[in-house]
Amino acid sequence: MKDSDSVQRMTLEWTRAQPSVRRFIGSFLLDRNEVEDLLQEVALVVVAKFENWDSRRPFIGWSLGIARRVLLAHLRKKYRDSKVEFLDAIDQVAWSFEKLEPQSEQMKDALAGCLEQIRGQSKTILSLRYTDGRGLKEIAQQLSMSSSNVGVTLHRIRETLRRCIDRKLKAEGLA
Amino acid sequence: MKDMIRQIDRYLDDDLDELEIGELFEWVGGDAANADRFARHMLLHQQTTELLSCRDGEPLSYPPFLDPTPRNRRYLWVAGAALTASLALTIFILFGGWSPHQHPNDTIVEIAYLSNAQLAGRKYSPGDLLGPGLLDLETGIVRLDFDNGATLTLQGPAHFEIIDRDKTRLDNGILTATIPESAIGFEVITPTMGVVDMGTSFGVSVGADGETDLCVFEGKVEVSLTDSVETPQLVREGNAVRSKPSADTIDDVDYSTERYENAWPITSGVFQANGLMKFVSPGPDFIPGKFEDSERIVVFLERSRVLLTSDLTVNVTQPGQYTRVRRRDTHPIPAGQTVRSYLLQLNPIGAFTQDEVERARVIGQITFDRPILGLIGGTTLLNRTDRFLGHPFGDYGESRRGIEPSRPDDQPDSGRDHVTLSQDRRTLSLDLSASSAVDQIRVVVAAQQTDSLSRPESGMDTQD
Repeated sequence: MKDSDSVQRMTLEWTRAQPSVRRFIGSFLLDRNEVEDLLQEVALVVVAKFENWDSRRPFIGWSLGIARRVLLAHLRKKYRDSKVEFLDAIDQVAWSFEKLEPQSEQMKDALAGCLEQIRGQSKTILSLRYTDGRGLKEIAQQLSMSSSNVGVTLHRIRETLRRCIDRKLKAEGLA
Repeated sequence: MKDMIRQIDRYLDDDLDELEIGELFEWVGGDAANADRFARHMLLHQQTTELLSCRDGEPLSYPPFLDPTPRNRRYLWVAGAALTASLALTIFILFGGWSPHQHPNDTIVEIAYLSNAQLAGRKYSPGDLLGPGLLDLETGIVRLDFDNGATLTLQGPAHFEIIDRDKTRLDNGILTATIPESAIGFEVITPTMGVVDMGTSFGVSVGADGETDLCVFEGKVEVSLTDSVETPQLVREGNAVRSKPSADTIDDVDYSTERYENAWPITSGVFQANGLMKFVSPGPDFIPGKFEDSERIVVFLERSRVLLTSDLTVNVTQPGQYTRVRRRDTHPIPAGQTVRSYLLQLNPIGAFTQDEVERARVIGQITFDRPILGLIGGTTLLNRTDRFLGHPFGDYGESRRGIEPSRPDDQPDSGRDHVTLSQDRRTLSLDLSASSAVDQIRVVVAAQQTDSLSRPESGMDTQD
């Protein structure tokens, strides 16, 4: 039985780690429902195993480790008929997310500023894709473009955003 | 070798086949630098989604539906959310950290507030628990808190039915609702229209003949004609629609919130506002920086649910009477609590002539549904908390704000410029000189304790 301090500690640690764990899982699953379901599985393991966590080590790394195992089992089941192998990618990306976590908020702030600079049709496409959650085909249909053109435009917008974020982070001495 | 950055973007747009996905992940797993690039691109994609699809400052927990979401999937997602909530309960109950309010098995709604409410059939009191059934509200107002987090306020005369925790029927009357993520998919059926919430706040008004008006205050809502099999129509915030009995269309109408202005503050957590206090109308135009009122103290709901992941520094935390809120007095609200934030904007000088301004007083009182945890009245603390407690689309400007620091000639017994936080922490009274340079106070109010684990806002680290 955990005492109330332990529950409070677990609550706080999980609250802090959850966004990164969700993003890590979301890197391998594009369906929100699937991500949420898996996040619940990870949370259940975190609760069950919390006493095993060595508090001298970062909680984010420990919880990403759990997420890595849960995700791998899920993907192997999902892609059991194909030859897609995820193990190395999952290991590497879990570590990448742990490294990214400390600066993720600064990146988000920079991104918010960069998004304000997007204008014209790029802004429309971005809004259809991210605000409305439309797919390439739907956007293409709405704007009388081909799907591949929409895809290329989104690629260019993202490239622009990446460069903009890098510039902002560099200016703040964070890159 | 393919351009793998382009492939990552195609992956994000669900444009890769299984073979290409295999190649991509082989590349990602083959080298730490590749994995770093992939993770960075994914983070950017997810943060873009969070920033562009947020409502009420609550970033959606994860990216876009890649395809239009069929109804059954949406309910699956609701089930997932419910699971999160049940996980929170599991944690607390298993480990003895929290003793839940005992709800009988069939109760799904708690009466949170009644004002001059006459209900046919029996007498109700705040705290009463209800299960599915009819509510015949002859007069007055009643607020219903559903156990899935949905909050509905009914204004009589209203004939209303709770069908289950996700579905209700309004045969006539006025209703305002706030639906959190945990209750997305919540339905209100009227004689002419079905309204399905997509995570939002809205008002519904049904006339005696069944004519239904819907006004979306925040987020978006799906509507369809009752019994129609047509694809639902999406109504976004700041828009309104109407359906008439026997009509085969749902028509756009002017956005007008007048009829919801009694019920809406109660849905938003403000049970009473009197004196010069006025809760703003609902809608995208009524946010800090966009809306001002020179005659009254306007009250904005800024954020509905913010989980404090570190201590929050405020100027006042204890009940009592304060002669000016001194900006150098700081106290912490401990981390781990879920809070709501409101901004009280005081700009009453315009209501007075120059002669009157020296002797006039601005008096107002506001009562919240939950305890006030703290008040923020200093420019620095206001600015510092704008990012996570301010309205996500508010414009707070660069100028000095908050409460003027005490003046050397202030007399403690002058009887002016008092801010009083009641012993039960629910009522805040202001008695201010109209000539004060007081212009903004942020009020931090407790949100539901049971929410603290279920759906925290992501990345909401408070920096003091």
